[in-house]
Amino acid sequence: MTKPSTDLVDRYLQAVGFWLPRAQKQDILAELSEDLHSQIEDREADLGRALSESEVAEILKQRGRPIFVAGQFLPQRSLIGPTLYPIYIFVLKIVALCYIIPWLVAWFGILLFHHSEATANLSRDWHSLPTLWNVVFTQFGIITLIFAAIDRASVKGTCMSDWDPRKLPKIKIETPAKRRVNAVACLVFAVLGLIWVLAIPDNPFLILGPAAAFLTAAPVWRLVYWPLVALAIATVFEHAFVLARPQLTWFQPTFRIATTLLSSWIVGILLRTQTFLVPIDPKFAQVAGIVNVCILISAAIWAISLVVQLVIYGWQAFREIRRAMEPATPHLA
Amino acid sequence: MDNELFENLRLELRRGSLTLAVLAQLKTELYGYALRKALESHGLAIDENTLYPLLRRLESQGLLVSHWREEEKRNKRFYRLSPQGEIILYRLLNEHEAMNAALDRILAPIPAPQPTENGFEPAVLEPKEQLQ
Repeated sequence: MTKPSTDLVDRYLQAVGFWLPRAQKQDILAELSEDLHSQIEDREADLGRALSESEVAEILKQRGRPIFVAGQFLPQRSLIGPTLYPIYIFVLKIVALCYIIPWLVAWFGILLFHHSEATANLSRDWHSLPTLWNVVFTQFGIITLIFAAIDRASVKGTCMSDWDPRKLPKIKIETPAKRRVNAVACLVFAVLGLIWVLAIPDNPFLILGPAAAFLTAAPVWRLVYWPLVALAIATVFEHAFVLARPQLTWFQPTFRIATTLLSSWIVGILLRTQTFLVPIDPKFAQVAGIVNVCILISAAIWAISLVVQLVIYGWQAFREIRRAMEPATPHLA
Repeated sequence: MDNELFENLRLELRRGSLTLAVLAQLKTELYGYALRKALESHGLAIDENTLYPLLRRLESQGLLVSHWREEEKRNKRFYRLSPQGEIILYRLLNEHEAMNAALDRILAPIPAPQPTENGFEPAVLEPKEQLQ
């Protein structure tokens, strides 16, 4: 009759063996078996009697779960090693930023404005999120497989040694003078932008060009014109403030969150409407229709970029506010 | 959190020392369980889930050689240092000695932590001592 200890040990070894590579399985199991039996015999010699099943179970429990024990013998336990991992994460972030976030934003936008007839056709195609997840998982899966293959191929070995420190990019030094010049240039352009916005109602050719002869603004612009002026004034204020108080690095991203929200409200109104320009003469109705579609598409793209901007400014504001609250630390010279 | 951090750092610190201890102990031929006992008797307990994979790794690197042999009516795998392993061990011991000496010099001025009501409190060095 089989001893209870032998039976339990054999069952344990069988469970460990399930996870081991075939080539080494017998060898590893034989050694583990020997070690376990030696330990049991030692314990039995100490106690002067055979171990009970629960005592053997305790020894096996101490060893750990079979899958964990087997895992210790496997050559590599990570799909992508620490050398390539930062590059892998960087690539995933780029994919998320350039593809998934805009897709999600567009999807939410269409859900919000789906009652508009102009977007009804689009919404039919975009309504199912599972399509997005399929694409996301496929992309992430392919990227992961490529990196795992590179890792296995030990390309990292050559990548790690074959590099020239002299080819590293130069340190970007933004001197206070250069920052000031940039701030002044931004302020000048912001003022010019404000003047341009203020001049549009009396000089529609500033925005429509030669089309001002046969197209005119639809009523929606009366609703959004003053908010647009407010946005232009806010931009002037932002750059003037940055010029006056450049050390308050948290201000610009925080302020831009507010202006981006105002822009989002404006673009929301624009997306709800279908008519941005109306023909002065009915014979230009077709031209007006084409221009209106172009403006609608531009507004949709603007909406997507606003959401991306909101995420970026939110992160920048959080980082700068946190930095401002931290005690001063010395910077690299 | 502190315990977890300490445990991770402790494992990191032990990893290199264990390799050195195993190589040094295998100047004489031993099988796995006997090696574990021998290390334990010197105050260096090693988990079997760490020891056996380590032995296999060192063997695959050519630092150990092994063979199966029957002893006390059971087949056991005996390990010992290979000629290459002896050279590496010698170099590692030199490195270890140099590192220990350096650590001794660094740690010399630091007094032992003083027990307090809340446990151990790190000793505060005088500015002069810190500069030494």
